[in-house]
Amino acid sequence: MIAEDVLERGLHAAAAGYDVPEGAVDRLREKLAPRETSSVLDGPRRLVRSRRAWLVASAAGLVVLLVVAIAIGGGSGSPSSRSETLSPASAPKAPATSENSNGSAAAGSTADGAAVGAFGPARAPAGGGTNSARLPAPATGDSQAKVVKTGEMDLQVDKGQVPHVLDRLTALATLEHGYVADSHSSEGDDASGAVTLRVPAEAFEATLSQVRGLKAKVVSQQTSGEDVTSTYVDLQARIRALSATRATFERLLEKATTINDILAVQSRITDVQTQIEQLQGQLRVLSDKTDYAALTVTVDEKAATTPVKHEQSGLSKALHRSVDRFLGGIEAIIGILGSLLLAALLVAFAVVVGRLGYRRLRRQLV
Amino acid sequence: MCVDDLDVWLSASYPRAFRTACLLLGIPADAEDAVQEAFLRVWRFRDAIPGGEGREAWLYRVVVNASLSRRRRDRVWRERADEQRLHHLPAQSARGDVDPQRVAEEDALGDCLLAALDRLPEHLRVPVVLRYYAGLPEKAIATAIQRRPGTVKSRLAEARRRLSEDPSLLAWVELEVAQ
Repeated sequence: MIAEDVLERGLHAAAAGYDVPEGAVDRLREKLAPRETSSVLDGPRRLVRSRRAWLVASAAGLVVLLVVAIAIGGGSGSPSSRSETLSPASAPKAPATSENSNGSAAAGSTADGAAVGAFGPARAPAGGGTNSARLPAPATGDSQAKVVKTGEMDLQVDKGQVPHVLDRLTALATLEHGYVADSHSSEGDDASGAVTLRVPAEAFEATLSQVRGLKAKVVSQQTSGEDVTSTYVDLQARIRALSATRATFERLLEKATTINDILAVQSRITDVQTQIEQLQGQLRVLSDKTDYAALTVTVDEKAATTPVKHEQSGLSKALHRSVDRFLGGIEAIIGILGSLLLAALLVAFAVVVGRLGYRRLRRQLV
Repeated sequence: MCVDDLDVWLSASYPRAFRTACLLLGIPADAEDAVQEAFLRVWRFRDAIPGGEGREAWLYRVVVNASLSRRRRDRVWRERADEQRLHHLPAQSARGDVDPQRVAEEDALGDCLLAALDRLPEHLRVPVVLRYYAGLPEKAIATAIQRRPGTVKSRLAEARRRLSEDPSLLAWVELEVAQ
C-alpha cells in the first residue's frame, strides 16, 4: 500500500506544476463586482425564494388535496349509517317512517282500526269531555303539527305466558293514561293474542320501550307517523266558512216574512248545520287519532320451529361466522383501496416534485 | 460574513482551489473556468456559507461540484483532455527548491502520480485529491462529496490500494528503490 506521505508529496509536486494564472483573482473580482451592485444579484435569490415558496405552496396544496380526498373517502358511508340510526323518537316527524320493514303496509289499516275502536265503548276512559273541549280551539290546532302515530309489535313469549303478557299490556295502557281499544286472544295449544293500546301521543315512545322491557322476544317492530296538519287546518277552515254561511242564513231568516221564504231558509240552515256537524265529527276523529297513538301488539307463543335453529352445530356456526367475516374483510379492503390508491398517487407525485425541486435548488445553491 | 472578509477568504483560497480543480480536471483552462464558476456561486449564496470548520468543506463541495458538472457537461471533454495533456507540461522549474536532486525526484513522483490519478475512477480520485492535496479531514470530505465518513474512509483505502498497483507508480517505486 502506498504511504500517505508519499501521496501527499506526490500530489503537492503535481499540483505545484499548475501555475495559478496571472490575474485570475482580479478577473474573478471583476466578475463579482458588478453583481454586487446590480440588481441581477437579487434575481437568482428571488428565483430561489420563489422556488422555495412554490415548493411550500405545492406541498401545502398536496396536503389539502390529501385531506379532502380522505374526507370524501371517509365520509361517503356516513349518510346511510345516519339514516339507519334514526331513532323512534324522530319517526313521527316523517310522513311514514318504518323501523322494521316487514309488514309496513299494515300501518294504515292499524290506524283505521284504532279509529274505529275510538268510537267503541272503550272510548269512555279517555275522557270525552276533554276531546270536545279541545275541538273549538283552532288557535292551538294551527300552531302545532298534528301527527298520527301508529305502531305494531310482534312479541314471542314462552308457552303459557300469552294471557300474562296481555294483562301486562293492558296494565301498561292504564299506567300511561291510555286505554285498550281492541283486544282478542285465543287459547289452546297455539295460544295467541292481540291488543291495540291507545296511549297519549307524548307517551308513545315510553310505551314502546316498556313493551320492549317485557319478558318477551320482540320479533318485529314498526312505527309510523303521518302528518295530518293540513287536513286538520282544512277541516277547521271549512267549519268556520260554513258557520259564517249559517249566520248569514240566520240573519235572512229573521228578515223572512212569508212562510215559503222561512221554510226555504230553514232548509238551507239545516243542510249547512248537517255539514258542519259532519266536519266536526271528522275533526274530532282526527284529533283523537293525533292525541292518542295506537299501538297494536301481537303476542304469540314460541313456535316449534325454534329448536330447528339449535340443530346448527357450533362448528357450522363458526364456519358461517368466519365466512361472513372473511367476506366483510374483503369488502372493507376493496372499500379503502380507492382512497389508498389516491393517497399513494399523491404521495408519489409529491416525492417526484420534491426531488426535482430539491435537485434544482441544490444545483442553484452549489 | 461581510463582503471584505469574503473577498479575503476567497483570494486566499483561490490557489489551492484552482490546483485542486487542476488535479481533478487535468486542464488548467477548464480548472480556471470551473473555479470561477464555483466562486461566483459562493459569492451569490454568501448568506448560506456556514461558519467555522464547515466553511472549507463547503467551499470544496462547491468547487468539486462545479468541476465535475463541467466535466460531465462537456461530452468531448475526454478527447480534448487527452489532446491537451500531451501538450501540457507542468512548470517544474517554477519552484525555488534548493536541492536539484530532490526537485527531480518530487517531479518524477508528481508525474507518475498524475498519470496514476488519471486512471482512477472519479469517485476515488476526488477523495484522494481532497485528502492528500487540499488536506481536508475525512469528515470535511464527507461533507464535500455528500457521503458518509465511512464511505470516504473506504474510498480512500480503495484508492490507495489501486494506486499501489498502478504501473506508473510501481515504476517510481522501483526507481526509488534502485536509487
